Amino acid sequence: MKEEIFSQLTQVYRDVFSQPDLQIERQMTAKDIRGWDSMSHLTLIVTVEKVFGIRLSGSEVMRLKNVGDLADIIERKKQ
Amino acid sequence: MSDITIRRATDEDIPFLAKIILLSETSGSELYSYRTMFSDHDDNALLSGFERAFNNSVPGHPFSVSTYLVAEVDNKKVCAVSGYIESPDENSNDLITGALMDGFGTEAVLKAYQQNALQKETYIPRTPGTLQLSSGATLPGYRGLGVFSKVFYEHLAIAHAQGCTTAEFQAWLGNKAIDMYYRMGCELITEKKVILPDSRTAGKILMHIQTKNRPQ
Repeated sequence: MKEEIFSQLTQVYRDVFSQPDLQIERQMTAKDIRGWDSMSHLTLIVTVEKVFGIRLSGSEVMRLKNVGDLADIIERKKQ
Repeated sequence: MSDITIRRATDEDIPFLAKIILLSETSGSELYSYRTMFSDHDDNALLSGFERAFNNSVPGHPFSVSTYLVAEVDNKKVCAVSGYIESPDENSNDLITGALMDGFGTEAVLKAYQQNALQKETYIPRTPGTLQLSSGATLPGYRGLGVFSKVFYEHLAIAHAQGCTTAEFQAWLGNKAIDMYYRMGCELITEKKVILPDSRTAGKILMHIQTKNRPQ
Protein backbone atom coordinates (compact mmCIF):
# COMPACT_ATOMS: atom_id res chain seq x y z
CA MET A 1 0.00 0.00 0.00
CA LYS A 2 2.85 2.34 0.86
CA GLU A 3 4.40 2.01 -2.61
CA GLU A 4 1.04 2.43 -4.29
CA ILE A 5 0.35 5.62 -2.30
CA PHE A 6 3.78 6.99 -3.13
CA SER A 7 3.28 6.25 -6.81
CA GLN A 8 -0.11 8.01 -6.82
CA LEU A 9 1.35 10.88 -4.81
CA THR A 10 4.13 11.28 -7.35
CA GLN A 11 1.53 11.72 -10.06
CA VAL A 12 -0.32 14.29 -7.95
CA TYR A 13 2.87 16.34 -7.54
CA ARG A 14 3.58 16.10 -11.28
CA ASP A 15 0.08 17.32 -12.12
CA VAL A 16 -0.05 20.12 -9.56
CA PHE A 17 3.39 21.50 -10.40
CA SER A 18 3.10 20.74 -14.15
CA GLN A 19 6.36 18.83 -14.12
CA PRO A 20 5.79 15.46 -15.89
CA ASP A 21 9.23 14.15 -14.96
CA LEU A 22 9.22 15.23 -11.32
CA GLN A 23 10.63 12.59 -8.98
CA ILE A 24 9.65 13.00 -5.36
CA GLU A 25 11.51 11.65 -2.35
CA ARG A 26 10.37 11.34 1.23
CA GLN A 27 12.68 14.04 2.59
CA MET A 28 11.83 16.63 -0.08
CA THR A 29 10.36 19.93 1.11
CA ALA A 30 8.79 22.94 -0.57
CA LYS A 31 12.24 24.40 -1.21
CA ASP A 32 13.13 21.39 -3.39
CA ILE A 33 10.19 21.81 -5.75
CA ARG A 34 10.15 24.54 -8.38
CA GLY A 35 7.03 26.68 -8.40
CA TRP A 36 5.98 26.04 -4.81
CA ASP A 37 3.90 28.87 -3.37
CA SER A 38 0.84 29.25 -1.15
CA MET A 39 -1.51 28.60 -4.05
CA SER A 40 0.23 25.44 -5.27
CA HIS A 41 0.55 24.24 -1.68
CA LEU A 42 -3.19 24.51 -1.17
CA THR A 43 -3.90 23.04 -4.62
CA LEU A 44 -1.70 20.09 -3.66
CA ILE A 45 -3.68 19.51 -0.46
CA VAL A 46 -7.06 19.76 -2.21
CA THR A 47 -5.89 17.39 -4.97
CA VAL A 48 -4.58 14.89 -2.41
CA GLU A 49 -7.96 14.99 -0.67
CA LYS A 50 -9.78 14.29 -3.94
CA VAL A 51 -7.43 11.60 -5.27
CA PHE A 52 -7.16 9.67 -2.00
CA GLY A 53 -10.67 10.36 -0.70
CA ILE A 54 -9.50 11.78 2.62
CA ARG A 55 -9.88 15.07 4.50
CA LEU A 56 -6.98 16.98 6.00
CA SER A 57 -7.44 19.66 8.64
CA GLY A 58 -5.38 22.81 8.61
CA SER A 59 -3.60 21.73 11.78
CA GLU A 60 -2.66 18.42 10.17
CA VAL A 61 -1.36 20.24 7.10
CA MET A 62 0.67 22.60 9.29
CA ARG A 63 2.52 19.67 10.87
CA LEU A 64 3.67 18.25 7.54
CA LYS A 65 7.42 18.76 7.23
CA ASN A 66 8.11 16.96 3.96
CA VAL A 67 6.77 14.62 1.29
CA GLY A 68 7.23 11.63 3.57
CA ASP A 69 4.96 13.14 6.23
CA LEU A 70 2.26 13.66 3.62
CA ALA A 71 2.58 10.07 2.38
CA ASP A 72 2.38 8.80 5.97
CA ILE A 73 -0.77 10.74 6.86
CA ILE A 74 -2.45 9.56 3.65
CA GLU A 75 -1.62 5.97 4.59
CA ARG A 76 -2.97 6.42 8.13
CA LYS A 77 -6.20 8.00 6.87
CA LYS A 78 -6.71 5.28 4.26
CA GLN A 79 -6.47 2.48 6.85
CA MET B 1 2.98 59.04 30.48
CA SER B 2 1.02 56.00 31.62
CA ASP B 3 2.87 52.81 32.49
CA ILE B 4 3.33 50.48 29.55
CA THR B 5 3.80 46.83 30.39
CA ILE B 6 4.71 44.16 27.86
CA ARG B 7 4.08 40.46 28.19
CA ARG B 8 3.87 37.33 26.05
CA ALA B 9 0.35 36.58 24.76
CA THR B 10 -1.65 33.64 26.08
CA ASP B 11 -4.73 31.83 24.73
CA GLU B 12 -6.90 34.23 26.71
CA ASP B 13 -5.71 37.00 24.39
CA ILE B 14 -6.97 35.28 21.22
CA PRO B 15 -10.05 37.55 20.76
CA PHE B 16 -7.81 40.61 21.19
CA LEU B 17 -5.21 39.23 18.77
CA ALA B 18 -7.95 38.59 16.21
CA LYS B 19 -8.93 42.27 16.47
CA ILE B 20 -5.29 43.31 16.12
CA ILE B 21 -4.93 41.29 12.89
CA LEU B 22 -7.98 43.03 11.46
CA LEU B 23 -6.74 46.41 12.66
CA SER B 24 -3.29 45.82 11.18
CA GLU B 25 -4.90 45.73 7.75
CA THR B 26 -6.61 49.09 7.88
CA SER B 27 -3.86 51.46 6.75
CA GLY B 28 -5.84 52.14 3.59
CA SER B 29 -2.88 51.29 1.36
CA GLU B 30 -3.50 47.54 1.17
CA LEU B 31 -3.94 46.09 -2.30
CA TYR B 32 -5.53 43.12 -0.63
CA SER B 33 -6.30 42.05 2.88
CA TYR B 34 -8.24 39.37 4.70
CA ARG B 35 -11.29 41.60 4.22
CA THR B 36 -10.88 41.44 0.42
CA MET B 37 -9.77 37.80 0.37
CA PHE B 38 -12.82 36.70 2.37
CA SER B 39 -15.13 39.38 1.04
CA ASP B 40 -18.28 37.41 1.79
CA HIS B 41 -17.42 37.55 5.51
CA ASP B 42 -18.36 40.57 7.62
CA ASP B 43 -15.97 41.71 10.35
CA ASN B 44 -17.60 39.52 13.01
CA ALA B 45 -17.24 36.46 10.78
CA LEU B 46 -13.62 37.40 10.05
CA LEU B 47 -12.86 37.73 13.77
CA SER B 48 -14.44 34.32 14.45
CA GLY B 49 -12.37 32.84 11.63
CA PHE B 50 -9.17 34.34 12.99
CA GLU B 51 -9.96 32.95 16.45
CA ARG B 52 -10.38 29.46 14.98
CA ALA B 53 -7.14 29.92 13.00
CA PHE B 54 -5.30 30.43 16.30
CA ASN B 55 -6.36 26.94 17.42
CA ASN B 56 -3.06 25.26 16.62
CA SER B 57 0.15 24.46 18.45
CA VAL B 58 2.53 24.96 15.55
CA PRO B 59 5.00 27.83 16.11
CA GLY B 60 6.53 30.19 13.56
CA HIS B 61 3.67 32.14 11.98
CA PRO B 62 1.30 34.97 12.92
CA PHE B 63 -1.58 32.64 13.82
CA SER B 64 0.52 31.26 16.66
CA VAL B 65 -0.45 32.94 19.94
CA SER B 66 3.01 32.59 21.47
CA THR B 67 4.58 34.72 18.74
CA TYR B 68 2.78 37.83 20.07
CA LEU B 69 3.89 40.38 22.60
CA VAL B 70 0.99 42.31 24.11
CA ALA B 71 1.30 45.82 25.53
CA GLU B 72 -1.00 47.05 28.27
CA VAL B 73 -1.52 50.63 29.36
CA ASP B 74 -3.17 50.98 32.76
CA ASN B 75 -4.01 47.26 32.61
CA LYS B 76 -5.81 47.61 29.29
CA LYS B 77 -4.60 45.67 26.27
CA VAL B 78 -3.82 48.24 23.61
CA CYS B 79 -1.21 46.81 21.24
CA ALA B 80 0.18 43.52 19.99
CA VAL B 81 2.80 42.51 17.44
CA SER B 82 3.75 39.05 16.20
CA GLY B 83 7.42 38.13 15.96
CA TYR B 84 8.84 34.79 14.91
CA ILE B 85 12.02 33.42 13.38
CA GLU B 86 11.51 32.35 9.77
CA SER B 87 12.41 28.67 9.46
CA PRO B 88 15.15 27.36 7.14
CA ASP B 89 12.36 25.97 4.93
CA GLU B 90 10.82 29.46 4.68
CA ASN B 91 7.46 27.82 5.32
CA SER B 92 5.55 30.46 7.30
CA ASN B 93 3.24 31.12 4.34
CA ASP B 94 2.32 27.44 4.22
CA LEU B 95 1.65 27.52 7.97
CA ILE B 96 -0.59 30.56 7.51
CA THR B 97 -2.46 28.66 4.81
CA GLY B 98 -3.01 25.74 7.20
CA ALA B 99 -4.24 28.06 9.94
CA LEU B 100 -6.64 29.77 7.52
CA MET B 101 -7.96 26.34 6.50
CA ASP B 102 -8.95 25.74 10.12
CA GLY B 103 -10.32 29.26 10.41
CA PHE B 104 -12.35 29.56 7.23
CA GLY B 105 -12.45 26.11 5.60
CA THR B 106 -10.32 24.75 2.77
CA GLU B 107 -12.71 25.70 -0.02
CA ALA B 108 -12.99 29.32 1.15
CA VAL B 109 -9.21 29.66 1.35
CA LEU B 110 -8.75 28.11 -2.08
CA LYS B 111 -11.34 30.50 -3.53
CA ALA B 112 -9.66 33.45 -1.80
CA TYR B 113 -6.26 32.52 -3.24
CA GLN B 114 -7.63 31.86 -6.72
CA GLN B 115 -9.30 35.27 -6.86
CA ASN B 116 -6.24 37.11 -5.62
CA ALA B 117 -3.71 37.36 -8.45
CA LEU B 118 -2.11 40.37 -6.74
CA GLN B 119 -0.89 38.12 -3.96
CA LYS B 120 1.54 36.48 -6.37
CA GLU B 121 2.52 39.76 -8.03
CA THR B 122 3.39 41.44 -4.73
CA TYR B 123 4.99 38.44 -3.06
CA ILE B 124 8.28 39.15 -1.32
CA PRO B 125 10.05 36.12 0.16
CA ARG B 126 11.02 36.08 3.81
CA THR B 127 14.64 35.45 4.74
CA PRO B 128 15.22 32.25 6.75
CA GLY B 129 16.70 32.90 10.18
CA THR B 130 15.40 36.47 10.44
CA LEU B 131 12.90 37.75 12.96
CA GLN B 132 9.64 38.34 11.12
CA LEU B 133 7.53 41.12 12.58
CA SER B 134 3.93 41.20 11.40
CA SER B 135 0.28 41.62 12.31
CA GLY B 136 0.96 44.53 14.62
CA ALA B 137 -1.32 47.39 15.58
CA THR B 138 -2.22 49.75 18.40
CA LEU B 139 -5.78 50.56 19.32
CA PRO B 140 -6.97 54.00 18.22
CA GLY B 141 -6.70 56.37 21.15
CA TYR B 142 -3.39 54.89 22.27
CA ARG B 143 -1.31 55.81 19.25
CA GLY B 144 1.55 58.29 19.50
CA LEU B 145 2.44 57.15 23.02
CA GLY B 146 5.37 55.01 21.92
CA VAL B 147 3.56 51.76 22.68
CA PHE B 148 4.14 50.15 19.30
CA SER B 149 7.85 51.02 19.23
CA LYS B 150 8.28 49.64 22.74
CA VAL B 151 6.79 46.29 21.69
CA PHE B 152 8.81 46.37 18.46
CA TYR B 153 12.10 46.93 20.31
CA GLU B 154 11.21 44.27 22.88
CA HIS B 155 10.86 41.76 20.03
CA LEU B 156 14.30 42.85 18.79
CA ALA B 157 15.80 42.41 22.26
CA ILE B 158 14.37 38.91 22.65
CA ALA B 159 15.55 37.87 19.18
CA HIS B 160 19.00 39.39 19.77
CA ALA B 161 19.35 37.40 23.00
CA GLN B 162 18.55 34.27 20.97
CA GLY B 163 21.31 35.03 18.46
CA CYS B 164 19.10 36.40 15.70
CA THR B 165 20.77 39.45 14.18
CA THR B 166 18.19 40.82 11.75
CA ALA B 167 14.50 41.61 11.82
CA GLU B 168 12.39 41.96 8.69
CA PHE B 169 8.91 43.16 8.01
CA GLN B 170 6.75 44.06 5.06
CA ALA B 171 4.47 47.04 4.58
CA TRP B 172 2.21 48.33 1.86
CA LEU B 173 3.52 51.28 -0.12
CA GLY B 174 1.80 54.41 1.15
CA ASN B 175 1.37 53.09 4.70
CA LYS B 176 1.77 56.12 6.97
CA ALA B 177 3.68 54.00 9.49
CA ILE B 178 6.63 53.71 7.10
CA ASP B 179 7.93 57.14 8.18
CA MET B 180 7.87 55.92 11.77
CA TYR B 181 9.82 52.80 10.77
CA TYR B 182 12.54 54.96 9.21
CA ARG B 183 12.74 57.07 12.37
CA MET B 184 13.13 53.85 14.37
CA GLY B 185 16.21 52.95 12.35
CA CYS B 186 14.69 50.58 9.80
CA GLU B 187 16.05 50.45 6.26
CA LEU B 188 14.36 49.74 2.94
CA ILE B 189 15.57 46.50 1.35
CA THR B 190 13.35 46.00 -1.66
CA GLU B 191 10.08 47.04 -3.26
CA LYS B 192 7.58 45.01 -5.28
CA LYS B 193 5.43 47.39 -7.31
CA VAL B 194 2.52 46.77 -9.63
CA ILE B 195 0.71 49.13 -11.98
CA LEU B 196 -3.01 49.06 -11.30
CA PRO B 197 -5.67 49.28 -14.04
CA ASP B 198 -6.22 52.95 -13.08
CA SER B 199 -2.47 53.58 -13.68
CA ARG B 200 -1.70 54.00 -9.97
CA THR B 201 1.46 52.38 -8.66
CA ALA B 202 1.04 50.27 -5.57
CA GLY B 203 2.80 47.41 -3.90
CA LYS B 204 4.81 46.22 -0.96
CA ILE B 205 8.15 47.04 0.58
CA LEU B 206 10.51 44.93 2.63
CA MET B 207 12.35 46.70 5.46
CA HIS B 208 14.87 45.42 7.94
CA ILE B 209 16.67 46.45 11.11
CA GLN B 210 19.54 44.92 13.05
CA THR B 211 18.32 43.49 16.34
CA LYS B 212 21.17 45.25 18.19
CA ASN B 213 19.87 48.60 16.85
CA ARG B 214 17.54 49.66 19.65
CA PRO B 215 17.46 52.26 22.41
CA GLN B 216 19.35 51.30 25.56
